[in-house]
Amino acid sequence: MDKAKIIEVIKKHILENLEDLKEEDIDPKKSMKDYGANSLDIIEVVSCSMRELNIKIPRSELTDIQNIDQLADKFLQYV
Amino acid sequence: MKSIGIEKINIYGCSLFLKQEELAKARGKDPERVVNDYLINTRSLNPPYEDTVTMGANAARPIITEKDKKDIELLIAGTEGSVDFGKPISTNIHSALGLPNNIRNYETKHACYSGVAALDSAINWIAAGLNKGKKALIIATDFSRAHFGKDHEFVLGGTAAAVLVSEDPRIIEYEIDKKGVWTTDVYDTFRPSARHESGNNEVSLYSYIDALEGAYKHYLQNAGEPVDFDTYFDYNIYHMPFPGMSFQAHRILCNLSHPRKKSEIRESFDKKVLPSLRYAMRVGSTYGASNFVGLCGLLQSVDKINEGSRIGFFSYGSGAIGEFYSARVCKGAKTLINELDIDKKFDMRREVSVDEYEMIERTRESYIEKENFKPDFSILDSWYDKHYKGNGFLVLKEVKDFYRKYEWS
Repeated sequence: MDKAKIIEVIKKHILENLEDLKEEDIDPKKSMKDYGANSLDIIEVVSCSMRELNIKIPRSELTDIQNIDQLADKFLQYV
Repeated sequence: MKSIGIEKINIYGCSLFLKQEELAKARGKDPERVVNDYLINTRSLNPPYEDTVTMGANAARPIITEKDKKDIELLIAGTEGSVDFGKPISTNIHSALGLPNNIRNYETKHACYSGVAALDSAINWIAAGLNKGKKALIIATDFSRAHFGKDHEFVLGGTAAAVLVSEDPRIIEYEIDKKGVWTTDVYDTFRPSARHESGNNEVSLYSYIDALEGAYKHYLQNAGEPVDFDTYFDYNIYHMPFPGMSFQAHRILCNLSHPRKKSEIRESFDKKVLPSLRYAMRVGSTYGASNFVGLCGLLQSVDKINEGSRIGFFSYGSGAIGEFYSARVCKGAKTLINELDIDKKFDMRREVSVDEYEMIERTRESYIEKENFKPDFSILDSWYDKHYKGNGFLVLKEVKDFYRKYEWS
C-alpha cells in the first residue's frame, strides 16, 4: 500500500465525520482541526482509518502528529 | 448462578456548583462552544471543610439503615484523592457511619477505575459464597485539584457514590460471568504528589479509546453467546471524564459493530446513552463514581424502564485499565431511584462565582500537608449555617498534629 492510498482512506473518513466538507477542500498539509474537527472527531477519523487499513497502532504514539500528511506517514510505517 | 447486584445506591453531588459558561467567560473562551464540547453545564465543588471522606460518608448516610449496618461485612472505598498515604479513608468512613468491627475494609486506587475495582472485589466475594449472606458497601469518592487557566480547567468536578452490593439486588443485577478487561502502562493523567494532577488530555483520550476497544472485544470473547451491539444492549453507560466523551465512546462501539454515519450514531446515542448524562452534566468530571452517577441518571431519566433491560458499562482508569461489563435492570428500580430525590438535592447546591471558586481552591491548597488547621466555616456567607448545620452532613472539623477530626453537622 502506498501513501496516496492511505491519504485517500483518511480523507474518506474525514468526509464521513465532518459533514458539509468536500474532498477537494482537504489539504493533507493541514490539520483536521483547520476543518473544524474537535479532539473527538480526530480520534474517530484515526480509529476508522486504522480499521479500514487493518493496522493497529497504540494511539499514544499519535499524539504529536500535526497534520494529515504526518498521520499518513505514521500509518505507512505499520502497513 | 447466584443473583448479585446493587440493592441500594446514592450519589452525593457536593454542596456548591460553578456554571461552566461563567468559567468560560472569565477565561476568554466561547461559552457555547465550551458547554457543547464537554457537555458540562455546571461543575460541582465543595467548601474546604469537605474532603473525600466526608463526600463518601455523605453519599452513604441517607441509604444505610441500622439493619444494613449489621449486615455489612465488607467496606471498600475507591479514590484517587485519599487524605493519607497509609491510613485508608475507608477507616474514617467506617467510624463516621458507625459500622460494627467485624468488617474487612480497605481502599482501592486506580485513577477513575477505583470505584469499579472496589465493586468487582465485592461481586467476587459474594459470588465465591464467602460472604455467607452478608453485604458489601462500596464507596467511590473524588474531586479535582486546582488548574487555574489551563485547558482542562473545563473538565473538573467532584462527586461520590455509595453502593450496597448484595444477593438481594433491587436496582441492577450483574451478569457476573460477562466481563472484559484491558490493561496497559501509560502516563495519561496521574497524581505524582499531593498537589499535582498531571497529564496530557490527548494521550488520555487515545488511551481511553484503546481500552474501550480492548475491553469490549474481550467482553465479546467472554459473553458466551453472539453479541449484536445494537440489539444486545438496551442502554450504554460509559466512563465520563467529561460527559461529552460518552458520545465518542458510543461512536467507537457503533462503528466497531458496523460503520455508519455520525447522524445515525447520534440517534442511537440520544436513545441509549444520553439519559445517563443527567447528573454528570451537573457534576463535571465524575471520576471513580462515574458508572454509578451514570446509572442513577439513566434510571431517573427514562420514563419507563423495563425489567431486565440490559445495560453495558464501561469503566476506565488512567494508567491504565478498561473494563466492560453488563447488568440487567431489576423490577422497581426506577421507583427506588425516584425516592432518593437526587434532582432536589442537586437543586439545593449554592452557585459560586468564579472569584469564590478560586478562593475555595486556594484555601484548599493552603491546607495540603498542613499539620494543624481548622477549616473556616464562615466562608461563602456562612454557607455552613444555611446548608449544613443540623442537616446531618459529615464535615472536617479540625486537623491537629495530622489527626483528622470529623463531625456530623
